[in-house]
Amino acid sequence: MGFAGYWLIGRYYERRFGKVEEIPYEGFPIAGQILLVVIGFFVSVAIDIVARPPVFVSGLVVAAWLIVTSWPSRRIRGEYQSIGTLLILVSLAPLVGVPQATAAKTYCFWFGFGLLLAGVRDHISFVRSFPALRHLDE
Amino acid sequence: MSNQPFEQLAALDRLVHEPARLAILTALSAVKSADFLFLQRLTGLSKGNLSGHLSKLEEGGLVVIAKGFEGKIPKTTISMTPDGRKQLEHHWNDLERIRKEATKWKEKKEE
Repeated sequence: MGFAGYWLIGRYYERRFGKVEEIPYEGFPIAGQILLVVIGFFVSVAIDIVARPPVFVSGLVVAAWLIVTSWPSRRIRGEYQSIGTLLILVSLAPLVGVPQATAAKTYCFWFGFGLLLAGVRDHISFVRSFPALRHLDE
Repeated sequence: MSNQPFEQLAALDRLVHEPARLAILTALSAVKSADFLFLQRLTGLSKGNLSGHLSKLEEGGLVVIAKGFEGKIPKTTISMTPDGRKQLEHHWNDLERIRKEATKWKEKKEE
């Protein structure tokens, strides 16, 4: 469902705003980056289930991924850094006595709600960067 | 007093310097290619105007226009040529240099 939604949103933006092809990325291959993140996530989930550490290791991995991937655009999309930092704090919350279940619920809420808010903000700033659309939207 | 910045302004390449074309080229310089709709949305130009500017840029060898179909929908994709990228970079460098010289000229005039 998530992938279908992602595809549909992509189609919407493409039809409304047009399409660009990015200049090929010359650093570490994107496919390699995705593979590392997927492996890192599953390993951290396994650690959480098997070793039951006092912190959410998978939560820390996801938060770190959010911070690292949004780092290049931190000046214009600082909210992702804030969400990532908040998620790190929530992942560490069991260390100061917060029950694991409460921390897990809080983590899921802020991950979903935070990304939703960030997405809405992204959309608004994206639309505002198009003078023609701004005119049409007014 | 030297009139150098004004001579340089007058000598700027008008193919690149025209505001709509400068906007198109600057947008294209950040990507590998873009479609017609994207450039139209970004610049706010009408279809006819954008098409006219793109034709001039293509004639000048600054962009390449590829026309095709995506399914049954016509699709126009525009990309900058290596020469276009060089000329745009050169143009922005010229503008920065001329601005500095114009500022110096103004400061001398005020002395």
